[in-house]
Amino acid sequence: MRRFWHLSRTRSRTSALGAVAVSLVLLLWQLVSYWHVYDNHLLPPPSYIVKAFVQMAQSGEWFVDVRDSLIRYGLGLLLGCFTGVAVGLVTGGIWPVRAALAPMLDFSRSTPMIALVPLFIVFFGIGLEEKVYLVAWGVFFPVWLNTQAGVSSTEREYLWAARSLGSSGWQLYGEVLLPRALPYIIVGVRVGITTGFFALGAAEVAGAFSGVVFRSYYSHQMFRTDKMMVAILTVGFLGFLCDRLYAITMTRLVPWWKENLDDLD
Amino acid sequence: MTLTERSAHKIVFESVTMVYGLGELAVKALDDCSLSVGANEFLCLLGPSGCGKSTILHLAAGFLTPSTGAVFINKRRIYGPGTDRGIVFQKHNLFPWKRVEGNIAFGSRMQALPEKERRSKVNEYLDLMELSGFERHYPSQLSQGMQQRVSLARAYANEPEILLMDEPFASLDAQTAMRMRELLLRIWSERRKTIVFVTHDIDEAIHLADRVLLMTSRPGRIKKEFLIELSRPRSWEFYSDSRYTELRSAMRSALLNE
Repeated sequence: MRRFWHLSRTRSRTSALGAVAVSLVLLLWQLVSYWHVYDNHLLPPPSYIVKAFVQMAQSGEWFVDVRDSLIRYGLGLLLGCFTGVAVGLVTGGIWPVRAALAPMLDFSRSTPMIALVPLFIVFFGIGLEEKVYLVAWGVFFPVWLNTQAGVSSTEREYLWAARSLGSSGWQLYGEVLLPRALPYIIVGVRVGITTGFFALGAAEVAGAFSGVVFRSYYSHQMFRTDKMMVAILTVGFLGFLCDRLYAITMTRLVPWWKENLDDLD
Repeated sequence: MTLTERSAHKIVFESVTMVYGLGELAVKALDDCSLSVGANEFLCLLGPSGCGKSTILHLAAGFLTPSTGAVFINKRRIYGPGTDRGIVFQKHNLFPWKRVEGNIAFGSRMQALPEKERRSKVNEYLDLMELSGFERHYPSQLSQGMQQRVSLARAYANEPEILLMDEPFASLDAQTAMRMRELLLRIWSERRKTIVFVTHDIDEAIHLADRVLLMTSRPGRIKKEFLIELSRPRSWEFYSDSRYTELRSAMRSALLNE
C-alpha cells in the first residue's frame, strides 16, 4: 500500500488537497457556531454568510460593489503597470537617472498607503480619479523596482552581441533590455496585483460610498457582521482570482519563461 | 610599425595598455601590447585565465576602449562595436527569449533585409551548422553543443569579415568540443574569415590555428609566438604527428615557465 506522504506530487492532487483543507475549515467554523463557542453575531457561521450573500446579490448591492471596486482596481492596475515599466526601463538603463530618483522613490515607497489617502483626497478630490491614482501608486513600486532590476542586471554579453549584430540606441531597449527584463516585470506585476488590492482597501476606507472594502467597514458600523464577512470574503476571492488568472495567462504567453513561473505557482 | 605594413593586416594593436578600475584598485590587464592579424588568418590567443586574452578580444570587438594605444581594423581606428566583427562567447550567448531562427535572423533583421532573404539565410545556416529541424526551439531546449552551433550560425549569417571567439567550446564535453572544432574548420575552409580565437587549451590552439600567441599574466603580455605549419585539413590523426607533439611540449614548457 502506498502511504499518503509517499504520493508523488501532481497538479490535480495539489488542488485536491487545497480544496479538502478549505472544506474542513468551513466545516469546523460551522460547528464552532453550532456549539455556540462564540456569539453568532461576532462570528457568523458560513450558513449565515451564505444567506447574507444571497440577499446582497438579490438586491444588486453586491454586484454594484464588485463592479465599482473592479473599475477602480483595473484602471489603477493598468496605470501603475505602465508607469512602473516605463520608469523602470529608464532608471534601469541610465544609472544617473536611477541615482537621482532613488531617494525620492524609496522615500515614497516606505510611506504607508493609508497615510497617503488624505493627500490624494486633497489633491484629486473624492471620486474615481483619486482611487485609481491610489491603486496605481500601490502597483507602481513593485513593478518599477522589478523592471529596474531586470534591466540593470542584463548581462553585458547580450548587449554586446546585439550591438555587434547591428542594433543600437532604442533598438537595444526593444530587442534586449525589455525582453530580458520581462521575467522580472512578470513577477513585479504579480506583486503589484496584490499591493494594488492593499491600496484599493485604503482608498475605500475613506471617501467611498460603494465597493467591497467600503461594504466591509460600513457593515461593521451597522453591526451587520454577516454582510461584513461577505465583503471580506469577496475581496479575498477577487484577489485570489486575479492572481490565478494572471499566473495562468503568463505561463501561456511567455513560453520560454514557463519553467521559472511554475516555481511561483 | 609603418603604415604600409599595417595595411596588410586586418587587425592591428598599437602598444595597447588596458587598466581596469581606478587608484589603488587599478589592475593592469594588458601592458604595452602590439600585435597584428592578417586577412583570413586563424589566430589563437593562448594563456592561463587572467592573462588578458579576453581583454584583447573585447578590445578588438570594440566593447572596451584602450587606456593607451589604439586598435585598428582595416587601417581604421575603432571606437566601438561594428557589424564587420562577429562574436561568439562561452556563455550568455544566444538571446533566450528568441527561437533558434530568431537568433540566427537577428543580424539580417537589424539590417532590415526583406523577409524572403532572411528566410533563405536562416535556412542556409541551419543546413550548414546541421541544425535543421530545430528552428522553432528555444535555446534552453538545446544541448550546449547545439547552442554554440546556433551562436556560430548567428555570427556567420551576419557575414562579418572578422570572427572573434572567446573560449566558445570551453564548457563543452571533450567529444562535442572536438566535433565543434572540426565543424568550425570545415566552415572556415569554405567561407574564409579572419578569426581570433581565445583558448586556454593547448591542443585546441594547435588544432585550429595558423599562429598561436602565448600570453603571460598580470600584467598581460604576449610572451611567445608559434607558427603552426601543419597541413590542413587537420583531422584527429594529426594528434600522432611528431610536429604536433613537439609544438605541444614547447608550448607547455613556455606556459609552465611563466
